[in-house]
Amino acid sequence: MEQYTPANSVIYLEDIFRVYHMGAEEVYALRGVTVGVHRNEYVAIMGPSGSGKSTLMNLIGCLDTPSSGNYFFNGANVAGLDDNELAEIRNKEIGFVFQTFNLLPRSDALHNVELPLVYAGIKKEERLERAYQALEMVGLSDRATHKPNELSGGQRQRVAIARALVTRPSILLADEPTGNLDTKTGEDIMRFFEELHAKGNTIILVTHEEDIAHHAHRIVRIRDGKVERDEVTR
Amino acid sequence: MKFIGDTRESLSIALTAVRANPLRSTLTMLGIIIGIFTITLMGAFLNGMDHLFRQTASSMKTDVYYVDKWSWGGGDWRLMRNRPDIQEEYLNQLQAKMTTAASFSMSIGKWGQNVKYKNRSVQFVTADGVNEGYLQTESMNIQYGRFFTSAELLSARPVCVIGYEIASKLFPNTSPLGEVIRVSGYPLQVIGIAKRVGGLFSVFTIDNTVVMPYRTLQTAFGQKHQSVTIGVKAKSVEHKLDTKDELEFYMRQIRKLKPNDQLNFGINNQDQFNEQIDKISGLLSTVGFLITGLSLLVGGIGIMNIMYVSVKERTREIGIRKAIGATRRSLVFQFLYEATILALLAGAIALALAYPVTVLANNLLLSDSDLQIAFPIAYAGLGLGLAIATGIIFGLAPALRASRLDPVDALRYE
Ligand SMILES: Nc1ncnc2c1ncn2[C@@H]1O[C@H](COP(=O)(O)OP(=O)(O)OP(=O)(O)O)[C@@H](O)[C@H]1O
Ligand SMILES: [Mg+2]
Repeated sequence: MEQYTPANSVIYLEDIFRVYHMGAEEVYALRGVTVGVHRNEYVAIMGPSGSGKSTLMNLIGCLDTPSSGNYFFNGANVAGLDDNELAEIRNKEIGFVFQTFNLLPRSDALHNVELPLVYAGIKKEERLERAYQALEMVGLSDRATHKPNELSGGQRQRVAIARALVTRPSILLADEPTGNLDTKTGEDIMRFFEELHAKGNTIILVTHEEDIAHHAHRIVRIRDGKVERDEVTR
Repeated sequence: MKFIGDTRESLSIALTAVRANPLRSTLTMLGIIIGIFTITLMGAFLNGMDHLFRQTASSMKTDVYYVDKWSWGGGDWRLMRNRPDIQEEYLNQLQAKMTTAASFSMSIGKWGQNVKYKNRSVQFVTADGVNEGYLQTESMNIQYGRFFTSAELLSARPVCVIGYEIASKLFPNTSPLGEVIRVSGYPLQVIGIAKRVGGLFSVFTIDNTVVMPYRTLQTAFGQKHQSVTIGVKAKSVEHKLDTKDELEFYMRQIRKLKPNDQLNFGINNQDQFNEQIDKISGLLSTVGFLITGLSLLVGGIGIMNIMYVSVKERTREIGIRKAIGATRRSLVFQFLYEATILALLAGAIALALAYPVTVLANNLLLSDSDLQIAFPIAYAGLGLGLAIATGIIFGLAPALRASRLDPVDALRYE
């Protein structure tokens, strides 16, 4: 297996720390994480509650910045980027799927999926076409005009996945995407992730269910803010 | 630049905000509604006044100077009271010397009289005792009947010419000609009716005046020796200031004033009136803008409050938008846009209220007045512009707050 370097990885984290300041108290959510992800890898991040998984994902997704350490995205050090450049990476390079779906409640499925393209500055016509295609890909083209509260949990998560993929990002990040779904619906979502991976997508998934994690090809285990084990599973 | 101006979404969000808390929203918008409503109605009124003004100004005798004991422009009241009276003889002296005057008149005016005919009466009428020059200096036209003959003017015949307003109030259905009216108790026969002047200040014009021979007035009011007013009409409107200078020169001569002495008489002109009017409408618009400004301030603070609440309620949405690539700038625009839509909504309501008010005011209150008001498009536009500005100015702080939220914190927000 080729070694991970900033140059050959989509994502390369180098000795990352993330400290939260709670008044006088310092909470170390991450304490020296070094991990790389190659293009078209399918990685599961596992670990007990509070071990720092979400913190790590937020850093990878450029929603948060590390207290120390370096983060290279597609070879470029994220620390040197300004707010607009980070917004652009979030928009174009990263698709984020959340445990709680995080759809805009007042907007219908199509508009939710279209929104990243709005921020990408794409024209209305193309936006609608691409949003519609993305909905079709997750099998929800017939629910385009439904609001989130008119959709089942699984359907909502598929809308969220369509939204994450509509800008054709380099990487798909999913923080416990099946956490709020029943087992069967969760399995549907996982099958879909596998298809995406087969089509060449890079996926990082946080879960604490072994069954779910074993869909991935590599499992990174975290404990107390550190990488405990990093193994290729298939 | 990526302009996130999804009008329909912003409008629906603004409407949702209104629906979610109708009382607060209405109170908020009330400030803006009152502000825009005020400026629109004030505009309607100012426009109407302005129009009327031009109409009135053309009927105003700005080329006539009045030598009077009192100066119209104001001044020390006690000083003016102690000035010597303007004597009848001055008329002949001025007439003999002045070269730039077209006509002269002499009159005594009595303000605030009442006029009665049978059971009808009119209050606050001016009674003018006049000589033959009055027709020219006052540009008075007789519509019905006639002016006084020389014989009538020299004697104290109890005859009069009345203005249009007096005629129409005392004689709504019949002809006044030949009838006897009582001017502050003194009976006078109506021999003529002056043509209507109209305009803003009909109370100050011939319309509201009873004109009688000079001697008649003296008899009626029983004062032989008192200060008169001498009217001097300039030959040329363009060179009326020459006439004024000439008049002042000869009056100084008559009064034997040294070059450095202060005038002990007034030379009055209706331009002075116009200045006063300008001051009044200036004051009116100042008050109007003040009310508007205060209301907009209140409304703006309300908008700011609504927007802060909206930002708080939608913290999670802001987090989502940031997570999928919204820049700070696009979020600022989004919230500014919503604040502006809210303010514009209020502005639109204000205009929707102001429009029928202008129509009703015209039809009910001003139906037989010369003051006519129309919906002032320019002021309405100004109003909407101010609404937009209010939305932007007071939406800015909440919008900036929204744009600066930390995405992770915002997504965590319950
Ligand atoms: N905003 C914050 N302020 C303070 N401490 C925080 C904050 N976010 C996370 N932490 C702390 O950092 C540590 C890691 O949190 P994180 O959310 O990354 O855990 P996790 O592995 O995702 O847990 P879970 O499986 O329950 O989602 C925890 O101890 C948590 O209390
Ligand atoms: Mg977590």
